[in-house]
Amino acid sequence: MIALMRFLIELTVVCGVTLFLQKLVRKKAGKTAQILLLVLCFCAMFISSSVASDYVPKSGETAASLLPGVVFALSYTLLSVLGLALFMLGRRLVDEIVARHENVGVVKLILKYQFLFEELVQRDFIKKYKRTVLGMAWSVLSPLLTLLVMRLVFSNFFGQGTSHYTTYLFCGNLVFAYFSDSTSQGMSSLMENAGIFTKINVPKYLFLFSKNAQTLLNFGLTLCAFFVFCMLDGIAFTWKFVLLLYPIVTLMLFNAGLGLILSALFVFFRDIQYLWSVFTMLLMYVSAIFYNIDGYSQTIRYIFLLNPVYLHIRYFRKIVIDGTVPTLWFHLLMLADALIAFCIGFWMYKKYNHRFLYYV
Amino acid sequence: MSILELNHVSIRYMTGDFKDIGLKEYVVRKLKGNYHVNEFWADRDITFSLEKGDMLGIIGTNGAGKSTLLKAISGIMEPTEGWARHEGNIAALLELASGFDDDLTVKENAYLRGAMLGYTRRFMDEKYDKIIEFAELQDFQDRPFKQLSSGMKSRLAFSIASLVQPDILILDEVLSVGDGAFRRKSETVMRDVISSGATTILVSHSLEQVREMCNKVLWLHKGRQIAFGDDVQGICDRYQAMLDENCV
Repeated sequence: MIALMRFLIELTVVCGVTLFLQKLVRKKAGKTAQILLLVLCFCAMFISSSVASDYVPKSGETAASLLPGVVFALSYTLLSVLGLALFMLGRRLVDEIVARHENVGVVKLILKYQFLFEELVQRDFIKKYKRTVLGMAWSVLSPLLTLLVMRLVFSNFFGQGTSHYTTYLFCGNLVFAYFSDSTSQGMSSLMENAGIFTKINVPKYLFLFSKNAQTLLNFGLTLCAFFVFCMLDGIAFTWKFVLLLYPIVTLMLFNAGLGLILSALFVFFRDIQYLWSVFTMLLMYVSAIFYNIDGYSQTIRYIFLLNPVYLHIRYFRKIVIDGTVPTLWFHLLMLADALIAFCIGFWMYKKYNHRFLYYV
Repeated sequence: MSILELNHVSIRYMTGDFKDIGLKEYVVRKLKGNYHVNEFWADRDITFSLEKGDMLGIIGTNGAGKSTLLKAISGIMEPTEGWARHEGNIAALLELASGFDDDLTVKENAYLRGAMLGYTRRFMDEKYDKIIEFAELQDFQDRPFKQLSSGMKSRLAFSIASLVQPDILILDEVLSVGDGAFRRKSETVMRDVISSGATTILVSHSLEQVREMCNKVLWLHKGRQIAFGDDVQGICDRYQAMLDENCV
């Protein structure tokens, strides 16, 4: 009963404050700013819930057990308003800098392509959910359904020795779905827009990045569902959750890099789509999504570290389930993977920039 | 200092290489010993330059390499040999209706196209009403693009590209679209663009149009540059004579 009350308090505060801030921003900011604001509110929610979890009520005291809820509400409001203020300040600063250097080549280029990028994202978004009844809800629903299936199938086989098996499974699914979505959709991004880049001179990587932005948004939505599941699974939120931004950024880079490589290859060899779907399946089985590798020997466990997707899954699990921060080497390994993929991809685009249109 | 300069530009298409024919065909041809890469020069050794305010008409039969040359000028293609250089921004209208998305509305498409041509959002916000008004599509703004007729699509494309005062405007078979009334209207706009000092390149099969509007003309035939110069009437006459000869 008290838990329910606490939950309700928290929910009203989060919804109320977020909606209010959203309204405040809507008047003068674009979509990008609104999404950033949502992310910010989300971070605020975590930090405040980790603060609140320190106030453990003593058993039996009715009034005291509401305390964490109140602490949460207060810190959430404070943090998000503070965040918004910082955000607006930063925005103004950026605007000012941009305005001052409007005629500098690089800034001009960014301003120019920012518009194109936004329009492409919007187009891909409209096209994706066209004629679906549930629309954007599928972004959350489809990974949840996958999770449900895996949970039903595997919990009896592999779930025995693993604590928080649902969360364990969800970590794997979350990361892997983002990876496979990004790469498989990114692969066709260049070909799909052949009609455009053979007629108008636009930077070709924008097509891929717009697809990536879409999958990132999908991932973000699934991430929200993931945190709700964590809560239900009895996971304690700590400040360490903020560190999850690191694997998200490296995964973003890694996906973008692979997307660049694959979309370039796809123009020359259409075969790659069949190879890639088989490879993705193989990768799913070697990424320890539904099984635990603790039982294997040290050597095999090291071999697993060669798989960048597994690295990211493991990072999530360490933070969320174990509550520990991976080592510095672990961080560097992830960054190296991402940078290598990105550099190769970028180099390919640079090299083949003018040769793509002979093969579309 | 000329605003657009092409120096011995040649463009080559490759057909029949490994990436083109696939593995099976590649192995088969290798075994038979008749594997070879075909070269096709769409443009060969084209040299000309344009000054500010020039209006160039490019004439030539189908497959003369006109569109390929335009791609090299607008930077979509890189010349295999030679170089092309230009100053200022280019608005290229190649095969108008392509690049639009059928599932988006007219308004969304207009913004997308504007973005592709390198305008800013602020600029599009300002000009949008004017564009729609010129294209005469006020009643269609929120319709899906696929419901438009091809004439309407071209009108929209033309309106977006011509209302921006580019330094160089490239029009590939643009003025032959739309009905008579719109064609007259667009010719007026074209004159405005030219008189504002922009350099324009017009590809057209209508010799009357070229004679009437252009002050320079480039004649291509099978990728070769037959003639270039400001003797518009003379070159057009020769071209007409060649066409007549082929007919007989």
